[in-house]
Amino acid sequence: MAAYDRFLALCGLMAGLGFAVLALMISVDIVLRNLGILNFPWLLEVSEYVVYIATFLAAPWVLHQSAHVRVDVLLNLVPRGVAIAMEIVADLIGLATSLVFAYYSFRATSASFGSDHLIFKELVILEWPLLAAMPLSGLLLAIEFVRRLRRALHGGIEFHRMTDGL
Amino acid sequence: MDWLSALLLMLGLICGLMAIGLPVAFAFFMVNAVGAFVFLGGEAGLTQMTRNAMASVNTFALVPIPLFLLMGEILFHTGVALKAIDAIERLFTRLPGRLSVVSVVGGTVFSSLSGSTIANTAVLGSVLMPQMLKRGYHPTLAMGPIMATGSIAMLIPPSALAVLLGSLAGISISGLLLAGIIPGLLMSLAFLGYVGGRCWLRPELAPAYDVEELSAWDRWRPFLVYVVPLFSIFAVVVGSILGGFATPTESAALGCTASFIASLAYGAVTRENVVKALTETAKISVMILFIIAGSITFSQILAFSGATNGLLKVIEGVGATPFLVLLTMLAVLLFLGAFMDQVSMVMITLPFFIPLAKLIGIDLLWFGVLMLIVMEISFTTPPFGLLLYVMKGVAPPEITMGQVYQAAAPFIILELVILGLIVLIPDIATWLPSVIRR
Repeated sequence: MAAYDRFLALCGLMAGLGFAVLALMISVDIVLRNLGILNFPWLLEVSEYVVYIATFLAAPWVLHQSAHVRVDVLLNLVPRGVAIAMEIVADLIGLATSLVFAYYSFRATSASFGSDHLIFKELVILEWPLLAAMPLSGLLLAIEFVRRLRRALHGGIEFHRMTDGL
Repeated sequence: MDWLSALLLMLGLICGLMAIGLPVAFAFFMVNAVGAFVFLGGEAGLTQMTRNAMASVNTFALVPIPLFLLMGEILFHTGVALKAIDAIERLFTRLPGRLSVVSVVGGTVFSSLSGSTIANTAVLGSVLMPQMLKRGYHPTLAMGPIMATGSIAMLIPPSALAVLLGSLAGISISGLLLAGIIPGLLMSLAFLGYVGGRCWLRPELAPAYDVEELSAWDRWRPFLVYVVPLFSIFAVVVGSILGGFATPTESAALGCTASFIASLAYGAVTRENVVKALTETAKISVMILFIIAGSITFSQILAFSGATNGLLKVIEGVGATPFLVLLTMLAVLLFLGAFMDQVSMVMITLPFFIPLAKLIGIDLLWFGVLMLIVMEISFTTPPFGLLLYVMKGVAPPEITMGQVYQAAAPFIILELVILGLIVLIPDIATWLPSVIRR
């Protein structure tokens, strides 16, 4: 499990690093473009892909950190036993959601793979490697929900762990 | 299924799932899965839902969100922001409620450098809160200004929430960023007025104390070294948008690079604090973006099921004036804000509010600013206001949640007054963007 946790943490760090590299590349692009030297017309598209991939690959790590925002008003009001029961139900629904998402995004990816679907923008790329981030994310999220479920079944529940950075 | 049943199913399910504590993003995904199956053609709808998830976040307009957050996290974790607040503190010597004034001024300065309310509140809380309590400040004057000014970060650019709202509502992001400046500054002035007034009337709430005597140079030098250069970052971010040289994404990228260069110049960059800034940025950004991943499907289902149109027709049929409709929308947002996070509020209400605002001819930019102000207020409204919990977390154990609520109350009233002012005089928000457009 320690290696798996390190893998999740690496996904989180890579997402942050991806954002930082984007900031640097866009800044360099602005300077070079205004100096009339050159510009990176593909950067806009790459930025979109980085944000998308970072979102889906780091989402399981964010769940592992209990940092996906949740409304815990009711959880804090009800007796502990009821709160644990609610947590178990929530984790089961989260697990089902992740599996449904993984399955149907896998079907979308596989259909795209079968038809060699291409994305025509500034760059011409195959669509399926991009879509593949979603079933992978769904699978990792399902694993995280199973771990949360196990913890809840043993009476573990986290209060006041909502996070919001806006 | 008729539109009312569809509406009740979607909203009832989302509220129920949120209430049992399912993380918000997954509540939206689950509702989308049910809605897609029922209204978008069974399994084909579910496959489309996953493709929509990619399309929702695969957009250039959202790129400033992580970048604005990264700016603030770099300045926070390298300690540069703390030095700036410290430098501002030295400027004020004999002033009623000195430390409360410092928290408002310092928080407003950091708001212009950070898109994160958490970073802003954490900076103010960690630097000023212990000092204020040690000096015998009343909890209202110690915690209130920190929470209130902390949330201004989402109004004054760079603001991640303004980008989110502009992107999802189809409002000009540059316009929205600029439109938040004057209301944000007005709020700071109102907070300063309140702090000054209360301390003048009741000096015992913020006992005066001897401040170390420093020469004028010793007082001003840290300001010149740590604050003035940071204003250049604000100038880069806002100036590039004002001048039309850069898109919000480009200005955010320049802001990040400038923040990193400034931190390097101060010798404040270490491997540990960079890793911390990157992971905190990733955590907050991914949390927001993952909720947004459900946005396209959620509004598609509401539209396909006829729920959006059905509700609009009912409101049209009632014959309410646009002003009354606006007040109702703001009241709904204020109510939701007491129980819900800001991204969920936007996700749930936008599919109805934007078509409604267009229908009755409300200026979307003005409406966007009003929504931002309500969301700002909701950071401190009990019982769910996030900053109330953040403040409770950094306050000493003897401070009760009730005291935290009490500390926030006068500032919520001031924010409501400013909200009312902007409802009555839209130019306060729309003047600056309109001047730039000319």
